[in-house]
Amino acid sequence: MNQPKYELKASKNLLTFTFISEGKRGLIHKMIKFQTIELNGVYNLALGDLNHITGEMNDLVTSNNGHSEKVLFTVASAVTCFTEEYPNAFIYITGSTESRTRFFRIGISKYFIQICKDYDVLGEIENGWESFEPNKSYRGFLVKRISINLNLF
Amino acid sequence: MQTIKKPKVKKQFSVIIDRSLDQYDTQILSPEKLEKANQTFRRIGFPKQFLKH
Repeated sequence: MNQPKYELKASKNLLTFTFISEGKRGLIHKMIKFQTIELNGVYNLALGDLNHITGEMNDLVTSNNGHSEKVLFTVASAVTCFTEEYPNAFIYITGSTESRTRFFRIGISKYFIQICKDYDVLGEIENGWESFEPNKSYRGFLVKRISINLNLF
Repeated sequence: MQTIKKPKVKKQFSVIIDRSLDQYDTQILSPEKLEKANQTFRRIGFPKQFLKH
């Protein structure tokens, strides 16, 4: 997706990404982190504002910097980069608040036709998982890069 | 039917490697969210749709 996105910096292992969001509230340092959970192979995606002084990430703050779609594409770019390095990883995405989860759901829904070419996406419901359906409410999302295979004959 | 795996071709991304970020790789910066994720998988399990992978 050739959409405007922020320039990403990443750690050597591509587990931590940062970028600077430029908007109506000035420059905000953002961080995207892929953290392993206790289930092997599953990574939790965290997105928040980075406090450069304390080194802490605040994933509850609402930046309201006016560029939410650009932020979303930047996150998508980090996911692409991460899954190039870790193609077998499962990425769990949920918001720290309901509105954050809705933010991810709207973004996935809007670009689902493009996303589903490269990723399997499941939606978290109360008692399990189901294939993602655009514009349906979910508690979270689980994403897996599709392996590229060529079927002959 | 024969299935062959396409050679992996890494895409080029506009990502700058910044070694000062390496320190964050092992830090848990949002423990509540991580615990929430762990609780989710303990409660509803890993999706069977993905067990084929």
